[in-house]
Amino acid sequence: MIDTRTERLLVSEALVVPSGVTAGALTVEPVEPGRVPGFVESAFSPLIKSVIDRCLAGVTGGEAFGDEGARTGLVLATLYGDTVTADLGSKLLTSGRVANPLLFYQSVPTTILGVVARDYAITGPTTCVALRGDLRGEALDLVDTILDDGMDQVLLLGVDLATETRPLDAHAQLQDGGPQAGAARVDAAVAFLIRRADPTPGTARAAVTPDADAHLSDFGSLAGLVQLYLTVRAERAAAAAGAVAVNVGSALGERELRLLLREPS
Amino acid sequence: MTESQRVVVTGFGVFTAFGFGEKALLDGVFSGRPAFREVDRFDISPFRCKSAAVYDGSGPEIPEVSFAGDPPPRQHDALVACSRAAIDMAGIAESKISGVLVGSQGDYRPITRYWGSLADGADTPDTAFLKDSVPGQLSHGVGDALGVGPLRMTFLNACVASADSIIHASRLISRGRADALLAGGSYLVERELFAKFDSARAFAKDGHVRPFSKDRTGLLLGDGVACLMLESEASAAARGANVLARIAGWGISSDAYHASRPHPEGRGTATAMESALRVAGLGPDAVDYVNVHGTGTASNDTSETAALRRVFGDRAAHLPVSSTKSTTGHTLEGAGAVEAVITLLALTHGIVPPTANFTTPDPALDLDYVTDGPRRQSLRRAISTNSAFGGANTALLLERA
Repeated sequence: MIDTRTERLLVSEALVVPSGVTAGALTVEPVEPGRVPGFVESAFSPLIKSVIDRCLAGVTGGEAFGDEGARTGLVLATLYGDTVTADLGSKLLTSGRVANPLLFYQSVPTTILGVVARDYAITGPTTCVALRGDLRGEALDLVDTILDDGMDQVLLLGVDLATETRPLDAHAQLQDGGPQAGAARVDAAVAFLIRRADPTPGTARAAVTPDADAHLSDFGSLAGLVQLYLTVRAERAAAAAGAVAVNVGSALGERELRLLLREPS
Repeated sequence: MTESQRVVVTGFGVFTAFGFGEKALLDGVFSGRPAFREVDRFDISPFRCKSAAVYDGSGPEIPEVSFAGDPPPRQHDALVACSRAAIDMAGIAESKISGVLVGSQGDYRPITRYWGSLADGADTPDTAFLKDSVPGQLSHGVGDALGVGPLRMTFLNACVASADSIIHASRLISRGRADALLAGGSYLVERELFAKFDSARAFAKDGHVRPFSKDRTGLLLGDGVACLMLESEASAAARGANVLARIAGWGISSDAYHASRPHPEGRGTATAMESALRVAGLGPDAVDYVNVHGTGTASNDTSETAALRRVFGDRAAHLPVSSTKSTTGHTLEGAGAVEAVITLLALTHGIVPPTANFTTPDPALDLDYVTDGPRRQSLRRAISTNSAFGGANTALLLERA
């Protein structure tokens, strides 16, 4: 049941899928994330850096934030975390080989967020959260709460790697009565820069973001956020609606988050 | 905007190398007795470092959790035991709790078993409790075992993870989104992370954690699990519950400086403390004690000292500051919750826990690090700080009930 509604401004968004995806009517072009010095073994951290660079390119022109960096938060949402680094480190350990010290800090998600924070001069809250099932509702609820806690804007990124070997076997054990997300078949990251907005209830027609389409099942836990990205891109391209509406925060009561696509006039 | 609710602590459960419960902490941490010993939980021979603060069975046992043999117990079991203790202490019905927030990177033990079984020649991998390796599952498993309400969140931001779980639970309660939430975190010493710290040469070379001492050489790991029962003050009052302390303020920040080194002037830690004071509506003079992150590494201790100078000015020189990692070891994702409980006990018992193992003053570090043993002192408010790789920082401001 929707009991409250919040309006925020969606400043920009980005999606990075290194392999690209074609499923039904959906085509996502492949994007090479590029290298990040010090992060050499797994796509996890380069994906994060790449999707944030793309999300902020039109906002800061690739430069650091000014004073607003102090009022900017960072939220990373994932189901599995960096499984490639975790498994590589464990395989080295259990086969009696010397662990690569680089795996030490690559395995910690705050490390790549520290790189992002340095590059964009972001000094607000940095949070990494793992959620079971689709990430969209609780991750957007967390963003909304941090905005309520005094930040002017929050950069949300969802990231998960293709689920193979050990994570796939773990995934098979999650098929109980709890929230479910399909196994991801692609590496992907999606980002949204969300800002506080003066409330203007009822002034913008909102396109409702549906639940994730079956064609998005390759994205696993990110399917809902990718669906939001696609809904936003379609509305921006058509210049039809001034906002998109998305249901968030189902565990503590579902409510509607209305994301304005342009500054209220 | 909903009128802000005050957030109170009505119960806790805690487990460290000293054992389970409040008395174990008072006998160990508050007497300044380090818990480091040679690790026998797994084969230590491949590693340069041999020591950690691991539970050896001599302290109070954690209910229904066995530390006998290899591997160590599941984080899940330890979290459930600590949560049940928090619920029992609070005297609250599970049905009134809206959910559980946990700080953990997931349990690495089943990952080691999985790949270890294949390395040992098994045809199929050992998948026992493999779901515990999925960080997002851990809070679900704990919440389901307890039978509490539906919110389940796992924070995996390293050494600030369980502080972040307490902070987010406090935000939700203060905004009226929930009346009661469990928040905490866990780490139990195991091979995977021990190997990574060892390969990075991050461990203390002399087998002692010596925060703020000139001869400090690094950190050592420790077992640490804690859960706090957080409620709105109105909810606790309606139940007639005994309030232990109040979470008066919180702050979380980023250094925006370096992937693995803290800001040399403690910018981020200072920002987190200033945010906590702002949320509480208090000035720095209101704080009587700071339980710092205090890892015993050269860069951390310098950075934190600078942060304290920045926030407290000249008063910093006379403000008791201690690192209880000198006795518990670094409990990683569990640190924020374990140290929040230690800070709470400092308030309720009127004892500043000491910084142990201190031998030699460092001319660059000139605060009151409480190196001469526990100090009896009436404490009204205290801050607990934590920091993580990438420059993430937290501060929790606790106030005596």
